[in-house]
Amino acid sequence: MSARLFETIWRNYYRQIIYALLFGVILYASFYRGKITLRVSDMTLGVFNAVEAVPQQRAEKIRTLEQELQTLRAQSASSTEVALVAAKLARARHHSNGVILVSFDFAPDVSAELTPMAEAVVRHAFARGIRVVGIAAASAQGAPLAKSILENCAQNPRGLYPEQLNGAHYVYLGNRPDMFNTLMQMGKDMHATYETDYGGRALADMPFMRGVKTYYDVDYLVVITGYVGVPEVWMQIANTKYKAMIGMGMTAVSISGYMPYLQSKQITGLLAGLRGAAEYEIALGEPNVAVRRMVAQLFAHALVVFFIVVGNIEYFARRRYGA
Amino acid sequence: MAPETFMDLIGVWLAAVLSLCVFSFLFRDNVLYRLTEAIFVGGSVGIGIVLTFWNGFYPKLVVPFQKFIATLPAQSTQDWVWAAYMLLSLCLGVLFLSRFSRKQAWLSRFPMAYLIGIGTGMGIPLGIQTFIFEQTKATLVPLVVFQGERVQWAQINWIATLGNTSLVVGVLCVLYYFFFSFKKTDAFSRATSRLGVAYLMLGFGASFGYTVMARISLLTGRIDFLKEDWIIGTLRYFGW
Repeated sequence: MSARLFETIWRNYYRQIIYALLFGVILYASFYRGKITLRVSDMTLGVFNAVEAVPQQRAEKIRTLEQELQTLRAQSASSTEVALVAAKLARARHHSNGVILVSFDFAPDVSAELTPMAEAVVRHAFARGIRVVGIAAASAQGAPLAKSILENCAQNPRGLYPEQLNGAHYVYLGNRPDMFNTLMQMGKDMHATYETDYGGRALADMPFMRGVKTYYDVDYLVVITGYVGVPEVWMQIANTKYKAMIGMGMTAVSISGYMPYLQSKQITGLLAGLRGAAEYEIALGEPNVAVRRMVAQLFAHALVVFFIVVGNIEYFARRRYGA
Repeated sequence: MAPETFMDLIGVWLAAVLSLCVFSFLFRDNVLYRLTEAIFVGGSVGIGIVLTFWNGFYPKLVVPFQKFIATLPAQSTQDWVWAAYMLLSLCLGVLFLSRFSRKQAWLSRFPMAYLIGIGTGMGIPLGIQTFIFEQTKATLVPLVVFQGERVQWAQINWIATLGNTSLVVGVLCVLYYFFFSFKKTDAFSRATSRLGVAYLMLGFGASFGYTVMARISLLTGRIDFLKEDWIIGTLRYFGW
């Protein structure tokens, strides 16, 4: 093929050629069986360690409430005060290994990035005996997807934990319109906010929900989102107003805008797109789909870097030698 | 997830064909791409409306009203207050529909004013606390960090010191760059603004890098679906 013909084809079809190469490289990488090494970043460890610490945190919470109750009784405090602390203690004891709330705030369009992340977090909680409350606060379209993620984790334990049951080990509440008000109300009473779970069962009739009423009864909150603006609402309400501890998982495209909240310790950790999911899987000791896809990511990035280098060489060559 | 039933198989094939239709845009704009785009937008809006009705409107308004009417007239004052409040909310909601009439469109200002008032009232204190106070607090860091109790050269944690200093310098330079009240002609202003621009470029560069990663992740996910669920899944379904 002459250089002129190549140039003509390249000029007319360079977009198609680049996309075809990218497609080919990712397809090739999906058959690649080699291993890659990933360092688990501090951002990811921030979420991982917080989930890991939930059972211990719950034990401390129970101890603190017991002491508070004893003190109140010794001081002959009012019956309302005693009843309030006693109710908190009863709820805390109901799930002695702790509870995390996972908000699946994404729709299928970014599922490729966020589903592996959500699965890794939920599997981690199940593996440590932590109960999971799932909601889809920001996305009505994502609500069925979130249900399938929870069910998949519960029914395919991969030898990490026994099969988990809906209503016993986890509940899924789905979506309610108007995220801001929903989150506000959840700080006062989740039962009044949701009334029923995603399957239509009344929360009042579910033994699981006797241990979860407000953010206070949740030891850690993981928000996995593909929408800009959603983390801000969670931080304002759950963290600033109700002092809940939050970790975030986000699409890589929006991650850099949220790093300042990590610096200010308003969130404990940040999972950055597919890489964050892969790091979480490695920290869990259970490499899965995210790690596999990171291989394809590596190949594709190498191709992108190659084209950037070639493009720059061409640019400087044209400047020096002319067209 | 590989198809297990015939309906699963149809779903996987539908998703695969629609994915290929979207990819066809990479060659050039065409009718299949536009058709898929229309299906996506229509489907999303349709699902959104249906779910909002069944998750919000129906359980929060219709069902309680049905119960309220069924137990008439044995209601407490509290129930009547609740019913009046819900009716008022319903009326405010219905006023949004007045946007469809040019003459009556002004009525939609009432629910709009209510929403903006509530939103602002609840949002401003929390917003200031979350985005201004907390962030400012996180910027007020010591410029020199010592490892131990003693204030000595040998005790300086250079990495933390460099990090904190660059954080404070970066915030001040970027803020200075966006300060347009006077012309920045002197050497100090120009140097500070340039450093601010450099910090911004670093931020944009990091964002761009993450954007490439995000887009390739989505492409990887789709190719994974086409390979695993569609091709291999179909072969497995037919026992190959």
